[in-house]
Amino acid sequence: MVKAVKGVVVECDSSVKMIILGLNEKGQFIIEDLDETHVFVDASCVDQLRLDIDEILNENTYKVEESK
Amino acid sequence: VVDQIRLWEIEKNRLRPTASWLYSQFSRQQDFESTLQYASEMGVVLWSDQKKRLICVSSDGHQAVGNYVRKLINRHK
Repeated sequence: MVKAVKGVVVECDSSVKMIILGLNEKGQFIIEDLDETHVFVDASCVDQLRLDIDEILNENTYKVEESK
Repeated sequence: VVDQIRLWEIEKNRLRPTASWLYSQFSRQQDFESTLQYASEMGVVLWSDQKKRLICVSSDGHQAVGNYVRKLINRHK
């Protein structure tokens, strides 16, 4: 039987995809892991996911600046 | 310029989310292919995978694709 699930397909690069997989271990919001650059997630988690990823990416940017 | 490059890099990393429906568990290969072709012609396929038999359809296309799948399945009953 064909199944249809509502959600959000997120396209991102593979490094961000790794971050998403890491975050999912705490939250479990991934409905289906599609491929290296796509993941299908619960719609209600997208805003929080964006915040979490921005925070992680910004942290990394600071580290680069400090090491100069 | 360095700041702009950094901003661009961060921007590039960000998520591109699209509200959609994921179709899965096609028991027949022909149903999967037929649905994928129908959705492709409508221009509503956001992502698909032949091996996993998964199709991601935009919210705009969900109703039409859902009706199409229902017709396909009823035909086999």
